Amino acid sequence: MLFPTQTVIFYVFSTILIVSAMAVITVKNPVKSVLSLVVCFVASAVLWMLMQAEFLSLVLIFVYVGAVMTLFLFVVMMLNVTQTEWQPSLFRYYPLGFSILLILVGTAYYVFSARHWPPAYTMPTQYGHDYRNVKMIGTLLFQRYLFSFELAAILLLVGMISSIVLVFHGRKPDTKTQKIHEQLMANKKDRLTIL
Amino acid sequence: MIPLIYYLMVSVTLLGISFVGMMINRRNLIVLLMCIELMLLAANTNFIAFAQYFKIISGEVFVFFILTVAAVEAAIGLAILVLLYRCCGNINITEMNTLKG
Repeated sequence: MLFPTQTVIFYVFSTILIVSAMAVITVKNPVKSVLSLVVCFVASAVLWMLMQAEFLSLVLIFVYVGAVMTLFLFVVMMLNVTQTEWQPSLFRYYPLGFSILLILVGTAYYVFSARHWPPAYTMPTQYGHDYRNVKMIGTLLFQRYLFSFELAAILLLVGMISSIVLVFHGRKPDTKTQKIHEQLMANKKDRLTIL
Repeated sequence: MIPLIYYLMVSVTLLGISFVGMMINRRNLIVLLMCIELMLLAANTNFIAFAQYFKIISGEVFVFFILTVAAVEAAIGLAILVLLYRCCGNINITEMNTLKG
């Protein structure tokens, strides 16, 4: 019998995923919280790679860990968030929260069990060597979902403009800045003298 | 070989943890935003699992759009957070009671 590589990888990385997700919500320091969220994303990228979604798992690492988490880290370090002391009242919601977690997971386990929903035990389809995930996604994205793709581009533009408008409030009066209008108005006669 | 239910249980656990995080976290707003990101991650894992097990690639395209929306949401959320810090001086959730009257 072959060594069950995929099963071992699945168990290891889903354990890492769950443990680091617990760390995200329980650690005191926000910087450590962001870093454990990064570990979460990497572990779930491995899980996605196991499901042969190569493109999306690489996008998760590049876009999320590379851009969004860096943004989070910048904001956490910029805002000087003080660690508040643990007061006893902060523990008040722990029992309720974790009982809700147990109820949720138990309900899901009951609903997805083989008695109620037999497809839950479907085995994965292993695509062969000629399967190209990027090509499949690209074909779908630029043919059937082209309009949605363009809408997503507009959404990103709107997000960029709105975050600039929200945070930027004018130049400070005594700072040296580039004056594009004056630069464009300059010509050779004003600047160049022949001695 | 891993049956579908394993992935479903992992993503349900992740969703539950992020929900608990929103509930027990009474300190700052950044952790709340991170819990939203975790929740979207759980949804994405579910989408990819179904797409792969039932051979419907459209599910993966949907994950692509969810990633786009989540990135925009994180950017605007952090911009609002910075504004809030400028206006109030802290980002504690317990002290946000201006609308209470």
